[in-house]
Amino acid sequence: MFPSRKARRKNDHAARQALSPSVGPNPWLGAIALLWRAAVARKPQRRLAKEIVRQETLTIVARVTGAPPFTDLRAALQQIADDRLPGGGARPLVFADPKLGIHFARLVFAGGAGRRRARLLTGVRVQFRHRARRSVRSARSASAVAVPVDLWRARLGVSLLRRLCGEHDRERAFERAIRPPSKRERGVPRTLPPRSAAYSARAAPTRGAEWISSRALQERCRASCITQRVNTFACRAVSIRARRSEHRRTGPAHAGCSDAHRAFERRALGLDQEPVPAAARLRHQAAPEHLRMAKRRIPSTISVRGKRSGHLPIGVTSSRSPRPRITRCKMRSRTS
Amino acid sequence: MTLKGADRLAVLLASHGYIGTMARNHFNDIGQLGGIPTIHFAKWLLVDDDTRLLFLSNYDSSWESYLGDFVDRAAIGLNWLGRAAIITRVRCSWLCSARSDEERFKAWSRAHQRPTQVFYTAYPELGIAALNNNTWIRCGLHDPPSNSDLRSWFRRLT
Repeated sequence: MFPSRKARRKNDHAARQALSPSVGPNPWLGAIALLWRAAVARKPQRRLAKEIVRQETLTIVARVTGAPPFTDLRAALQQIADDRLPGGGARPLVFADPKLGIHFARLVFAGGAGRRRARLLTGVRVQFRHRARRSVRSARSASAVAVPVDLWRARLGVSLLRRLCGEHDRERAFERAIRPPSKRERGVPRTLPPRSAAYSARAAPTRGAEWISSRALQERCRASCITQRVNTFACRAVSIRARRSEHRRTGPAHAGCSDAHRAFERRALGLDQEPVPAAARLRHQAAPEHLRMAKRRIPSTISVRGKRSGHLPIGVTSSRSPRPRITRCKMRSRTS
Repeated sequence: MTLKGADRLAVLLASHGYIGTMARNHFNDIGQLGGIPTIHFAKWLLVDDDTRLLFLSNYDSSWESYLGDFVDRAAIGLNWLGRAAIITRVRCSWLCSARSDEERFKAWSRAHQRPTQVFYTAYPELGIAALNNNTWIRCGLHDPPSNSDLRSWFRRLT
């Protein structure tokens, strides 16, 4: 599937030969070589993979003073929103430059709430918020914040900024935030509020692939154990510790941390295609009836990740009663 | 949303510290925020001299399902937030789903939202699952996977 290192080196050498002046001034050949190098050659891609790509969130909160209804400010925002890339979708041109590397961006013109709303009616203040999320190829957090600020300043333009904030932003907060920082305050724009908590679902590649996959597997096993416990005991959610102690009492094959159970769950989750080991299968067959029924339901309950509540229509048997008791699951089934 | 008092601010800061630590060490790695897999990014900010809380997030799917996920899977966090900051509280027991006040919570969220005048997304047609899958495919192209991981890498192409 993948070319060997030697073959890659040979391909790189061929690309360099194609790009060298000795090839001649043929523009088609040069263009083809460039395309080939961008698509196939490994050397530049390897360099990119080694760089640290941070995803930083930058939020600027600027106080805007003036009297409602702020028609010119709203018109300027509308102009930015309307000037978008062709092809549909929410892609205003201001943020669409690939050099900026912005994932999401938003401009929110927001007032206050409660008591502040009354002050807003008297024209005291509202807030102008700017938020964007982008990738930064930098290892240091300070420079990672400073780079998008400089880029935005160049991209947005002074005239647009004056139109946005010049008449309303009495404290010049937005303009101060996006001006080039001095040496003393480089990387620490004063108007950037510190975050108290943040989450990113796309931070995974900063860790090793094996580590990530093992953590994901642990999470899936934990979810499946809880689901199994919920099914077995009439939809009562319990902690994973209780689940483990329960299975240690009933048999090692059902403990969430044992290798046999792990192999069974991997197969149930579709992670492994090989059959369950014979020893694990025998222990599974020797399990009590209600646990076997619960195990049979594992694939239907955990096959769709994140949709567990929608796959629990009926509880199974209760361990306390000798006869199987069918109970309606109380977990809500919600359609998205 | 407006914060109620200094003691509640302390509770809020403590819960945010917990969320931040969990996000750095666990949620960011598994790609789920408290069991919600449809959120791209989320951020909590204290503005106006720590008197107001600003919550920003990017999510897939509809607004209804997004809030429904919060009620179903992050009821504990919502309760903490309610005790610390907000007027309406989502009442729920410690580990059960918050069904009773769901509609009230949705109404409160709608009332406290602010319309976005300008919004930009670099990939309007892709969800977070597809984005992460593409990221892993790209990582596999940069660093070819070993023989044991090759099958799972190919499975990402389907």
